[in-house]
Amino acid sequence: MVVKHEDGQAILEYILLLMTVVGAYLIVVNSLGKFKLSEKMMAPLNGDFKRAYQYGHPQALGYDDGGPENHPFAPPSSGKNNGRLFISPR
Amino acid sequence: MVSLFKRKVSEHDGQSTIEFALTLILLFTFSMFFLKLAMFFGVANYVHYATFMSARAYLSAGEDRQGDQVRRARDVIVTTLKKSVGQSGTDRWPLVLKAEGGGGEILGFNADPPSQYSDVDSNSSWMQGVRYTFKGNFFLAPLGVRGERGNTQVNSMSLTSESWLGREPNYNECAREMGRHHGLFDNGC
Repeated sequence: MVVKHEDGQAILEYILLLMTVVGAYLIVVNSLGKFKLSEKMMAPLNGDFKRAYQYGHPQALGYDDGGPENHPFAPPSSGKNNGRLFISPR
Repeated sequence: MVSLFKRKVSEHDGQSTIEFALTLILLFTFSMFFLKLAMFFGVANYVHYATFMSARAYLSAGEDRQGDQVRRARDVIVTTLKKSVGQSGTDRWPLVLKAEGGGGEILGFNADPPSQYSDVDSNSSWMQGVRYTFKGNFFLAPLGVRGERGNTQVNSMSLTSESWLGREPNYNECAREMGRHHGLFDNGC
């Protein structure tokens, strides 16, 4: 009988399993996107680190970012904590 | 038939493989993210050094500003951060960071003073040096890269390295200034 032949069973099971795994992956990916996890991970990099890299202080603002503030080169009279090379980052 | 079904259901051979496959997605994402971040930080430190060296070249006096001081600063950036002198438009490590913006033909490089600069106001006369702007992309695919922050992708970070070392007066500026005071027979330049 043809019914007794089970040649394609493993492939069929593999495809069904693959559909289940891919489905689970898509569900996880979509739910993670809703939490905006990537934005939360990138927030300190695009904020504190970016300013520390450019100005040497995590809360510093340059002339083009609405400052200057906590800026090491800007004259002291131009804003808060300007003109100081060493400022506590807190 | 029932016993065969029970036996098949009780077999858990593939469970660990499926769990591993599902965990691998997150594991791979976080691993790649931190690997890329480490590489980006490493090269970003090198960019600071390159900008500083470029600002040193810009600082030294020469014949004139555009043809000598800016050219020297640009050459330093090209030799340190670009593929070669002949490929000055190609970044040296395009997979790690890409130059963006800038004020001239070399992407990312800018030796023009900002709009706040004034050579007669000591509060802003220090704004002479070199800036280099670049960005890096991080692998965050399963965490959702579709969200956007303005026109920028969420998974990218843009940094600017700046070095304000100042600029010495070049020969033309010196001769012009000294000529105003003492005449050109011995201009002191």
